[in-house]
Amino acid sequence: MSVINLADNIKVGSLQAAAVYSGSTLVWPSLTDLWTFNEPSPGTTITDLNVGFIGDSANINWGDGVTNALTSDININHTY
Amino acid sequence: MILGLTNSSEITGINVGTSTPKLGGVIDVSDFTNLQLLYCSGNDLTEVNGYADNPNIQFLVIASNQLSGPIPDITGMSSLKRFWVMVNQFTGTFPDISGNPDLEVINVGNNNLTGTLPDISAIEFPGSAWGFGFPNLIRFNVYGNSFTGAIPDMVHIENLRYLLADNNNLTDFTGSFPITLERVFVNSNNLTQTAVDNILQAIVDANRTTNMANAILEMGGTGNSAPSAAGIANRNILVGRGWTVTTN
Repeated sequence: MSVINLADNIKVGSLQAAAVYSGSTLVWPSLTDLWTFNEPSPGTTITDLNVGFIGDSANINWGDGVTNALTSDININHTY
Repeated sequence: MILGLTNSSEITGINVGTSTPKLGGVIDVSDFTNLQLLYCSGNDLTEVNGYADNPNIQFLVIASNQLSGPIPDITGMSSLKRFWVMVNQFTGTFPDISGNPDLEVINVGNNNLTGTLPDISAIEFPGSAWGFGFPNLIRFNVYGNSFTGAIPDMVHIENLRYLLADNNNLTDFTGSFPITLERVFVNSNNLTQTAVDNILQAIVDANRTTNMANAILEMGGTGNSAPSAAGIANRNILVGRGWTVTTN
């Protein structure tokens, strides 16, 4: 499937888009790998992950297909 | 499985939090070029890569994981203030900190490091206002390794408060301490009587007499020599000033 993950200025009308999904899959902006780990056992939880950023938005893909928009310096949890 | 983030060039801080049960694997921050803070303590990581040549990182906390091998060359981390790598399985020698003039805290405790400790007061920073040493360093923690040789002279570490070097194989000390020093743990080493006496003398000479509630000198434990009569006299002076002192 072709994706538009090389785009750098996507708008809906005059509104700037922060992210584009194909179904539940984030396809823009592109992801940068941070943490590679083995398949977690069900119920494994990451607690208090926190990302600071200077731009308008950032997203996290937890690796299991779930993507969340982040708020700078606000903790977020995820259970696999 | 790969956890990823968007907008990597705009990210300035990452704390991966803690995982239950603990996740291992590898963290790589090579593409996070503007990162200033990286926290990834308390997991079971086997590698953290891509930080050692980043001049923007100020706070690196990768403690309590399963990291092994030598500590990477951090001389390119010119903004580094806090370097916490304790409670891992790092081997090799104490890292070269000659490229890190802004260091405030270094903690390499509870690893498997060997060799001698650097003469940190003699490290030169020619472009700095001070020339030698680390004027911002408040914590020098090297406990729980297998370091040998001398405890460094702290003459140019003028704001040092914590020197935690217990449970090594250190034998010697010659030099002085700043008045700011309030907690000295050098117990369970192989300190000679001369070294024990020199430490007591240096702390007497530093002449700390205020805010003594946390002033602790711990020189007991297995391996250290007992002080001489002169050392005992200095120990009594320190106790009179409010220090809590333990010797063999």
